[in-house]
Amino acid sequence: MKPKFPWFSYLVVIVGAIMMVFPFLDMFFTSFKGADEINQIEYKLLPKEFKLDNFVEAFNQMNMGLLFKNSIIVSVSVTVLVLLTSTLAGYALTKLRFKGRNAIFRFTLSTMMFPPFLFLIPNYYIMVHFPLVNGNNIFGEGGNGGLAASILALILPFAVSGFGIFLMRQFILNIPDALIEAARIDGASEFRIFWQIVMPMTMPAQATLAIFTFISQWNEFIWSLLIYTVNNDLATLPVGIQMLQSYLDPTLTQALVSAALTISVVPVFIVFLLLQKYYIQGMMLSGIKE
Amino acid sequence: MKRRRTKAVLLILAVALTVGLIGCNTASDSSSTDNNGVVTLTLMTHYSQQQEKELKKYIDQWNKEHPNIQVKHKSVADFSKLLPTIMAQQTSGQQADILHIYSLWGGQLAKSNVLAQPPADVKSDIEANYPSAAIKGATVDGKLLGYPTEVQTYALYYNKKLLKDAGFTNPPSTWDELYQVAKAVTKRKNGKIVVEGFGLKSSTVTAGVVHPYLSLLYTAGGRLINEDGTKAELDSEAGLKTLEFQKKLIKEKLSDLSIDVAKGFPSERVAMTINASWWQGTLKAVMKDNFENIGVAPIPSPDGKSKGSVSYSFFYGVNSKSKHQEEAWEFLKWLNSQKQENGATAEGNFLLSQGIIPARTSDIEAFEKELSTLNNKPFIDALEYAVPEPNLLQGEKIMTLLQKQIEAVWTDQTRPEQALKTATEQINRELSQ
Amino acid sequence: MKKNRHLFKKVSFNRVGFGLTNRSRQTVMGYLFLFPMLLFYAVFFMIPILFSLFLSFSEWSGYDLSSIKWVGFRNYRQLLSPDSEFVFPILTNTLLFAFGSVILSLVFSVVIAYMITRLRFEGFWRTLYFLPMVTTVVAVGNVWKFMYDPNGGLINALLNALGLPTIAFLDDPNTALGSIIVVSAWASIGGSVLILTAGLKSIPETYYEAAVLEGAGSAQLFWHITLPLLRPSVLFVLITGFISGLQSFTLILVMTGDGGPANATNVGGLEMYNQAFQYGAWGIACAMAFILFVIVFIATVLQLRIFRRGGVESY
Repeated sequence: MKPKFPWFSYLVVIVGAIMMVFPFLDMFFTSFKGADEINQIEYKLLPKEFKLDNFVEAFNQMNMGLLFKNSIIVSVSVTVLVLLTSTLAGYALTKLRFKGRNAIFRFTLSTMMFPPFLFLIPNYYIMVHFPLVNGNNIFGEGGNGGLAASILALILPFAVSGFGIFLMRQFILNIPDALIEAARIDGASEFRIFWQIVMPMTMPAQATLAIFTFISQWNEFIWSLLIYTVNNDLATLPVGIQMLQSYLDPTLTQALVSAALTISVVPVFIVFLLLQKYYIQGMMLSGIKE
Repeated sequence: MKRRRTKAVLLILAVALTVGLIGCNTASDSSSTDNNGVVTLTLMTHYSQQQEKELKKYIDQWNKEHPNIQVKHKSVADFSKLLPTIMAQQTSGQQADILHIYSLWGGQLAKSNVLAQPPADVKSDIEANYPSAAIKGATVDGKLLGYPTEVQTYALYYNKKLLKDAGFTNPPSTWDELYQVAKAVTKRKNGKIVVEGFGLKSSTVTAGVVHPYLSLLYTAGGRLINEDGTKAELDSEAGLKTLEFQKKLIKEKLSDLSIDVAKGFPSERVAMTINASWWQGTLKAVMKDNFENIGVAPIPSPDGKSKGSVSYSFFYGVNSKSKHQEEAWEFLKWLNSQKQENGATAEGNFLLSQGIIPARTSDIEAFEKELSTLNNKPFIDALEYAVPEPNLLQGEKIMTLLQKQIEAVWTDQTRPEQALKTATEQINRELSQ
Repeated sequence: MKKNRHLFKKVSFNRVGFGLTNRSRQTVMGYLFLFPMLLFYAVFFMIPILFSLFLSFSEWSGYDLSSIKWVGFRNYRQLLSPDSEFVFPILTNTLLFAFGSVILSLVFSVVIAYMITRLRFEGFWRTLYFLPMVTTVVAVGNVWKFMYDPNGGLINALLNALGLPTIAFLDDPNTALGSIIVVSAWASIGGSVLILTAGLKSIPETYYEAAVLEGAGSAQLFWHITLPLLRPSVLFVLITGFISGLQSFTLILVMTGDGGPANATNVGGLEMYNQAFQYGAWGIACAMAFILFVIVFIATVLQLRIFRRGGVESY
């Protein structure tokens, strides 16, 4: 329902939007400042000149190319895996009837309630002692870091998501049973039903899940930090940026970190702005209905 | 239909192949012997950027002279991540052969059997050539675990220019003088602090809160724990006096906790603070010419006569899981005991370049001239009376418990008496386990 | 409509005819489809949970499996004793943080989501609000840390320009937790707005039209139609937000690594991380994690009860 001209709404929304965006502006301008400007008492938004020194230094200190590459590979892989496993599970838990179906679903829900910390070290051990990988024998002994030294270590522990299964299940519930049964009568195998009916029909929900999963994996920090200690080539973007905090010249740290953040944030912003129409439509269509 | 299915199968095969290939990518070995019998050792420290560059000079020197034993340096720039990294690598088989250990971690590392015992000749070399404070720092549970490197002591850093502008040509030597100087030097503009008189917190890590407090405590004659490390002795007159002095500085706004001293002191917005000897190197690099304005003095004491300081140390140890322990000790022997042309060892030269006083007695003698600069003297003198940080198993935990209580007093969350009691109780509980 | 009923009848005939085969086929397919997920949970969930549970009853410095020492309930007793730091302030901080950030985010999200639907270029506005979610939590934490700086930070500059005194947001135990709650809420408004918008769009226009005909003003429309019908979405955001809020600590780690001045911002997730990786006390850390799990479980069950009464289908 659109009223004539909602002055108040525009005011609130614009003020709010400014608050959303302003911190990034601050970050952007700080990237150009020198040590003297940051450490002065008076705050000035704009820098004296737009020097690129901090950006150059940030590039030197962090291996930007590697960080982006790792983050992208990991986030995309996890998203694909989660979409696949969640839709498979979602379908099985709603359209196929078998014993234990409800119990498995409740179990899935409960897995989300455990603090992720509990999985850190055990999973680390499992990765390191994975049998028959990277020099490990069949008992997982003797190798050189096992699976923990490869990029798979950043991907596999996140391949299945309780949240994803939950979301897809809710959505697939809305697909009429009749459609599925009709296909079964026509002789379609469950696989075909899955690929040709369920997958296309769940596109909006998958778009939603894809965004949330991608963002959450892009953000992942604690596990990535642990794996980074095993193999420095496996640093992801959050890990790389946090490393900058220990830059030896503390008067410059703020500007340096701001520059690094600007470099890492701007491409993601641009991609998001370009694709926003598609994403937002997808999320809207998959909304949580009653 | 058939085409779609074939497509799907091919897609799955392609994905599986890619995943398999990625998975087979092995990480580089941390230590290995290749076909020519060349042994590669990994040395892991927290030295980075210009520190690392300087250390590499000596590593390259060794590598040139010893083609069969090559040493690679691995830097963990974020010091707070050094211990977790060491521990994580112990499990994954990626461990470094030589580790640079902060002695506070000695207990934790000993419990997990991370460090190897040195051979007899290394032991006798260390025992003969290092002062007892250094040896103590590298000893855990009565076992000497490696070559002491840095032995840090604390002193008062002050900005000569800021003090002079306020009318003081000499640094304070009593707590009362410290208070007076801080009062004269602190400047505010529009209610915002422009110059902070005394920085209570020298850095944002635990040691930045605890070590300066302990330094002041020791000048007042107080103690942290008893001789055998079984009970805390914080709840004392001296402990109370120290906390109340710090509170006074905060109350009269001569200390402002929101100022980051690590940034503020080199920017000449903090007049005085207590920090360790390694800081000279960083200050010099950051302040460049303005470094001339910096002076160092012994930590002021309540009466101006008693002395006190904190010391902590680092040492090089060899990993018990290393496959090349003999070669590792060879390198360490060269680094720490072999004299270079100027009469000092490679490690001694490295430490001096960073403004750190070397631990080895012969190095201190070789550098007599350089070390006798005004700024170094208080640190060297402090070696005699500084109280070493306890390297117990619960070391980190105890420091953090104390830090939280000190911060609670600073921010008016508890009274000093209560804070000392709580800290003592909590520390005793840790020690009794 | 008629056609579907016809199909259904056909189906049931088939089932009567081929009963067993159909059911067992579904069982096999069911477990086949679930296989990846079950395998994953067996390896990356069950084993870690059992191991961690065992650890919570022991004392361990980490990484050397042979040095695990069984101590029974000692860790739990220590954590739950009345003078332990864990219950107060750590657990209270955790609850405050989760509750505070979810409620704050929700209130703003509802208002903003509603208002956006009344504007043109809805998509554009929603994108702007979604931007903070697209950047990493490391970025968000660092940017706000700089903004909160009492010396040279943006926020204090604004406060001073308005004649207000400087606030040491992250250094003052009284404001530290609140400051971080604001950041956490800020970062999650975008996601909530999207979910709530979907809920808003599903409210039939006819309700509004009928109310306008009876003379209702915009405020009344909001309170008496929008809010009540938005309940399911609101509760969804509330529950998921609360669960993740109870466990989150990365933002707090980035902004105040050691738990803030006098533990003012120390939450369960952060403390257990430090216990393990800084002090080498893995037994205590795991015990903390399981206590936290119990709290999350109770909170979720409570909210699900309310959820059910709100008219959403049962689980």
